[in-house]
Amino acid sequence: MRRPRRGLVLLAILFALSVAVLAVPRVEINTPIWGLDRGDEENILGLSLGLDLKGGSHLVYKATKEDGSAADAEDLEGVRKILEKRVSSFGLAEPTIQLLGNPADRVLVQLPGLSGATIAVDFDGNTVFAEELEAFLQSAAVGHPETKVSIDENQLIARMDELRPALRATDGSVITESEADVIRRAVEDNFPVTAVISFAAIDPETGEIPLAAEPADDSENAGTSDDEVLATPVPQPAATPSADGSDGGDPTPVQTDEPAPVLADDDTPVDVGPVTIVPEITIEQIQGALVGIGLTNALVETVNDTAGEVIDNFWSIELIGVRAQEFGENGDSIPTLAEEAREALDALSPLGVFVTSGTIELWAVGGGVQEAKHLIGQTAQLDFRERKCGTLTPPTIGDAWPPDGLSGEEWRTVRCVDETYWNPPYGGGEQDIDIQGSDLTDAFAGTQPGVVGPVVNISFNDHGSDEFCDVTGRISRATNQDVLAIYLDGEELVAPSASTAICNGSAYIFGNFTAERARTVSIQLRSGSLPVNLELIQERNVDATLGSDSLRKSVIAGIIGLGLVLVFMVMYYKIPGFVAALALILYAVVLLALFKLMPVTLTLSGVAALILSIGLAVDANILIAERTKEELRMGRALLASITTGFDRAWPSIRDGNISTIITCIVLFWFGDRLGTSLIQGFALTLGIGVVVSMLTAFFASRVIMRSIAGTSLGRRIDSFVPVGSIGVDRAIGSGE
Amino acid sequence: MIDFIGKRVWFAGLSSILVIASALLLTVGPGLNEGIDFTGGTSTTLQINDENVGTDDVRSIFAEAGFSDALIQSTGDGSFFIRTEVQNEAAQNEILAALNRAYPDQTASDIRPEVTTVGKSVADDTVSNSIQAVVVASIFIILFLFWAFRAVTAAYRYGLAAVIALAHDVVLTLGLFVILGEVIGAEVNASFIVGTLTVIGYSVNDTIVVFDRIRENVRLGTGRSFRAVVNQSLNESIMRSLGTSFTTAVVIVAMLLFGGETLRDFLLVLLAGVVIGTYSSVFIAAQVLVFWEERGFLGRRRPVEAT
Repeated sequence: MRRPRRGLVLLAILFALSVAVLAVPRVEINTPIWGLDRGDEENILGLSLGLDLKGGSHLVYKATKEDGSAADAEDLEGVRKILEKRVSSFGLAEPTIQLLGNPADRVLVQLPGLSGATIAVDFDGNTVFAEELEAFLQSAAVGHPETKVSIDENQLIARMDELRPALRATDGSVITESEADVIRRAVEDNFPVTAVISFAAIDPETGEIPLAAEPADDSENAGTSDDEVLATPVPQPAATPSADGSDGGDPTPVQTDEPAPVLADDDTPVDVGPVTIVPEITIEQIQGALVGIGLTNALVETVNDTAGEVIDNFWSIELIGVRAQEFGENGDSIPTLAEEAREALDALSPLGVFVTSGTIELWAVGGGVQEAKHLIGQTAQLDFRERKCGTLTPPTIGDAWPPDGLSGEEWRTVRCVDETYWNPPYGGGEQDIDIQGSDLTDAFAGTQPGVVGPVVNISFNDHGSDEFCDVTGRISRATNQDVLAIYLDGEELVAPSASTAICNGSAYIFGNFTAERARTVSIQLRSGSLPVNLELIQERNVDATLGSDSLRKSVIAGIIGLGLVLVFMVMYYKIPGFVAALALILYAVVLLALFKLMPVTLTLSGVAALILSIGLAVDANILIAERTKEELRMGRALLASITTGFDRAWPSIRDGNISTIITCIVLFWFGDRLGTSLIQGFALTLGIGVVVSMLTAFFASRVIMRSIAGTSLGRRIDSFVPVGSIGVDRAIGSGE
Repeated sequence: MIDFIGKRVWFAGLSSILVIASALLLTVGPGLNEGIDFTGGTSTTLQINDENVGTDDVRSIFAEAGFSDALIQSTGDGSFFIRTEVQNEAAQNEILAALNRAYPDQTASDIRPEVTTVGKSVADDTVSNSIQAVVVASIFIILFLFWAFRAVTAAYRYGLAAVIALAHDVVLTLGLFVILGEVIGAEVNASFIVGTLTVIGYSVNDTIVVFDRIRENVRLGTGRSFRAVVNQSLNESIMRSLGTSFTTAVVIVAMLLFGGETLRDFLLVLLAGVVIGTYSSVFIAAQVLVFWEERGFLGRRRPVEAT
């Protein structure tokens, strides 16, 4: 009896290993030649679950090009890259974007956990505790009692149920604003934001402190203008850009005037030195001006210098509940009370006024199928912009240059690349030029004689060619060595410079491109030049709670079902039934461990396949038990009967399972063509289940049966035949 | 020993009636209750927390958004299941807007609209691919059985007999679903296809076990008639067939009772398939073999005296 014992040890090891794999939420193995990292801490037993079990959205888009032609594989590759960026900017965990069909003509976007909304909030300046925000969002004022708020770095993350999306008319205009926007206002009202106005009354004529002499509102949008004014930009304090992530609008930092010429430190008020005040301003005057525009609760305070002395005629004004800036639906700045206050103060005297903000710095809404679909369905736009990089020479003679203690070399590296430096006050910002995506006729990767490495060739139509000629002429002549920045979908693709005007309509971009990068850039340029329209042809949304509910119920039902089967097996088939029960448990554990290690994503149809495979695993054991019974009935000894029973049962187990495996292969193949994970998940799960069940039923059962037959139980022949079986001669011994 | 073969006329008659009835249900009327996976369209589930809300209210909301022919089903407690033609994003927004106007105090998280859309082209693909999958799977199974029973005379009969049993099972399951569609609104959707494919797998598996027994007994060559060999094989394998069907059915019934609503229709297909599959292995597949052996495929040969 040595073999069964060794077999038992092997089975025990297999069982223990499988249990260990399932017990550890995450399995990580690292060896120099082979590594493994499996398991998802969030799911039951660390199994990988499909969207129908954990909730999420399954969106299939059909891609057609704007001119009506079918999109080819490269177009779809471009689409995928665009979608990946959009979806990840949406703040979703692990989206999968997959091309379907052979050849590919559809895009599958799977967004897990979309049925709830996630809002990331960063309260700049004002500290709001997670508990406070949670309590507020749960309160009747907002009406989301399910909200959970956690802290992630500096942001508060609020997880809530689905929020009502903005309702848009067919032309894209907003009928009703989104619930997220409504909540945002409620949050802002409840956790008052504060606009801080630093106000220095200074005489501009003494020249001691250069000030913006123009009316304040002229300099407001300097961030996007390219006027000659920018030749002498005024350094600004680190204004906090108030980004509105939910709108996707480009945050335009408010360009403000700074009362001091040299910035010692961005954050602290500066010593403005001796000043002459014309005319004299009093606190009452300031308050009067503010009350005049309806701000009665303004907090006006004097400001101390670094030595603790009060700076004359320098005030800090806090406007509680007033935002420094606001953005409209299209991302444009809209006038705020803070602006009015600033103008009112400016009217008192030619003054240095700057506004910073304690507003919500970040408000990014993730989740929400409707919002996600809106984002995905947009057509990608190619933007050409002329970028005036950070100046090579100091804007004002005598300024320390390059700024921020950068070396000359570092400055040349960052001045066209770093957004901070090509924007004012260091550079001239960007200007849209009149080249549209449709003006670009082609883009492809290639090589050029005399150029090392791959290049991206581009060509334009007549209109694009003229504009391209103009812009390359401008940037090549400019002493500042500017660049032409090309954006796709708001994301910078490439920003080449030019050394001469290019007027023949075609050009190439070279640089440190790898072949892969050159290919990617040209695909992306092309996808922007002839945008691919995405039509939603299939959509499935599973509520996360519904998904986990299905899973929980299925697991409970599965355990009940399996339990009943085991009870039946033991009651009816006695010892062979008990062995079958052990084999079934082993089967279930090994199968789940395999699913986790491979990994197989378990879907609802996979659960169904699992049930069926349990049925087939039981079937194998029943066949064996019945065959063994027959052998015993014919008068064989127990051990011989067991051996023959297994051998006789084997052909039917084998043939039956092979036919099931054939069906699985056919289904898997068709599932691939159907592009639905439903059938494939079923086929894969069932296929693996059948193979494992064959092994456990046959080998595990045999080892356990033989071991039991070798013990004193082996003398009780009647325990080896089913209830009510007749014709088994009890007189027959059990010995070998 | 039970004489299965002797009673075959009864079972052949019963099966013929059921197959004809199913065929009539499928072709003449009322036909399968096809879900959007087959027809294309958008299905929406809504939960409106208003005790006075009825299907007419929901109908007017959908009509307002341009879907006056929407199929609306109340599933109780203010929840509704609505089927329309494919809704694009704008249409969905209009429905939400209409809902919002009708129930201004309920947010999207109260109403919980859950939208599933299947485009017409996708639906057409699904149907044609499912049919192809069934046909291709059947061909492969015939080929495999032909190979597996190659040692037995007229091995092709086993393959064809298994496929006849399989077709019988599929037709009966579909027929049963026409009835279920009428009675409980069971819909034929993608998971129904999976269910049908499962039934095919199960049916063949079950048939093979019976055939295997016949093959084994034929090889023993005791000189008895084929009919007697088959009858003995059926008697020998009947306990196993019942045992396996019973245990599988136990798991399925447990899932039906305790599992979620989502799998209900699928499980019903499976349960029907298991019962019908077991029946057909014993009373159809094996009988076809005997009939074929004695009378020829189309019954042209003269009957042989039974032993």
